Amino acid sequence: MSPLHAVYRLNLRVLLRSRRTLVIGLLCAFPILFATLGVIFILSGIAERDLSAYTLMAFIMARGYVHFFLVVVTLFYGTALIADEIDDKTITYLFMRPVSRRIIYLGKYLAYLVAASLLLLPTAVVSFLIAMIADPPGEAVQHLPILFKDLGVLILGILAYGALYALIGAVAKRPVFVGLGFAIVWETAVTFIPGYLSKMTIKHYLLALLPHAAGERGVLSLLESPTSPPIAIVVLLATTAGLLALGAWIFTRKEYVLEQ
Amino acid sequence: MQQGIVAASGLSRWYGQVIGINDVTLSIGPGITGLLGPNGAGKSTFMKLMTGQIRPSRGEVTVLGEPVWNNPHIMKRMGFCPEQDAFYWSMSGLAWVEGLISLNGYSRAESRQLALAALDAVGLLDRKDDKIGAYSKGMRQRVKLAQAIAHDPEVLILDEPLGGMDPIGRRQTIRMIKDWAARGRHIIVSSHILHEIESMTATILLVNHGRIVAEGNVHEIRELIEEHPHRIFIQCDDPRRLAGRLVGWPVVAGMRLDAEGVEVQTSKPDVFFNGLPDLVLADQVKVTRLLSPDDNLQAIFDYLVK
Repeated sequence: MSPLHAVYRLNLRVLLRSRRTLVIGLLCAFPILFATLGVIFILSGIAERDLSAYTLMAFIMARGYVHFFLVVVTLFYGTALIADEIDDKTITYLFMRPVSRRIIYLGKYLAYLVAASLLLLPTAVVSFLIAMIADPPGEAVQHLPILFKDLGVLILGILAYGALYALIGAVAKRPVFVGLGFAIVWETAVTFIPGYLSKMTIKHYLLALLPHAAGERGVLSLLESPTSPPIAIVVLLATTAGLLALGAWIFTRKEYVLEQ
Repeated sequence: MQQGIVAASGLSRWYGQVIGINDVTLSIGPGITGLLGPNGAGKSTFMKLMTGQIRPSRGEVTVLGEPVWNNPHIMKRMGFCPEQDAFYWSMSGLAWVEGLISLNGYSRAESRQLALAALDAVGLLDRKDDKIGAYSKGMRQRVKLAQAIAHDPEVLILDEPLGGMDPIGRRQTIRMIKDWAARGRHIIVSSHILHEIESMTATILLVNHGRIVAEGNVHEIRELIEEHPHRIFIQCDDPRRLAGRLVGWPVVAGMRLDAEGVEVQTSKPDVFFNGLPDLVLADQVKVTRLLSPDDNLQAIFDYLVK
């Protein structure tokens, strides 16, 4: 077994069995609940006339996933990758193996990718399928490409946010608070500031890729220059690679003194 | 730098204003070496430096001739049982050892086989599928040992490995460490309890206040200690009657009486402890507490460094 595979396998096992996964898993069930309620409202005629399966899913994806669930899941998983090992003093066991720290970092990140994807992607698919009940069968099939695009956006978000929060976890002493501050102050507040500053956030590029994000930011979208989907993809992948390389570099050189 | 299994030259490590290890130069030879010192003496810092967990502030340390900081290759030849009670608690003992050993590059089948053999060696095979969270302290110590020995390292570094073990576990672990050494492996074991180290090896390093205060044969240290008058406090229901009996005993060099008991000074504590039960039983004195203020390493070090 290659060292990278061994680190990945061990850490995936640890991640999936953690209490954190149970809590995040419960949290990820909310979009399904929301989609179910939305469909009930649409089919019973309680909902406004312009609420359709499409707009319901657009709302869940943009407001639910990109603005909240994606950020929360990646934050709590990403920051824990290194920080939990330090807090729990288990990092010693990894450092005492003939595996470079760079490989440990990458293996843990891979485990995170799989764990976060297992929680976010299936719930998004189930939410979509439930929302589509409100549409006539023919129209639901027409919306399938949108689902694939949405899943692509989530995957890119998992990649980029994971790299960012893993870096924060490797550097900061209270990474959850630092990450939370970043998510609220920078990723959320700055996204709503018109102009070019929003281009310094990951969320800007994710929203640029959402197939149904138009109008989601209301009049603010009129004051900013949009980013084309190909550029958004390149920026997100480059950001992921850059943050990952920086995190691995720091993790390799940083000394972790465990409290007695 | 001197050559040895572990060699240090001008090795210092401080944490801000606090000194962990100060200007240590030494060479640890083959076999079992005991690292002995009171809590906070610097043993764990030295062990962390030896295992590359932390970087020296000054000087250098090598294991088997290679530097250890950020050198993962040397870890194939080393095993480490840390002091901290830290685990992936939701995993079983087998899954944990197997997962860690797989990082050494073994296949799944090999990792499982090695993990099973290691758990067998530490006497945990019958509890291998239990979650670590359900293990007793002694069992957790043993599973830590298992992950350290599973890949058959040349150098085994054990930080307080007997802590929390019951007497049977201690005996088994001591035997295992000795067997390991008899197979040509090198072991550095730390403890703050003298007789624990004595039962494993005669070669010791005494550490105190971040410095190596003595190194060599434990029996020489023992002799020094035995020349030092030892205080023993006996709390009992009738201190006067007990003092009357003790006064005629040749091993008693001095005595102090108070309302709760008798404090005895002796230069032969072993003889005193062996003879005390008979004396107490003969006089029907009810002993409620036996304290030995000098029977700790700090007292021994205070005496040795005078």
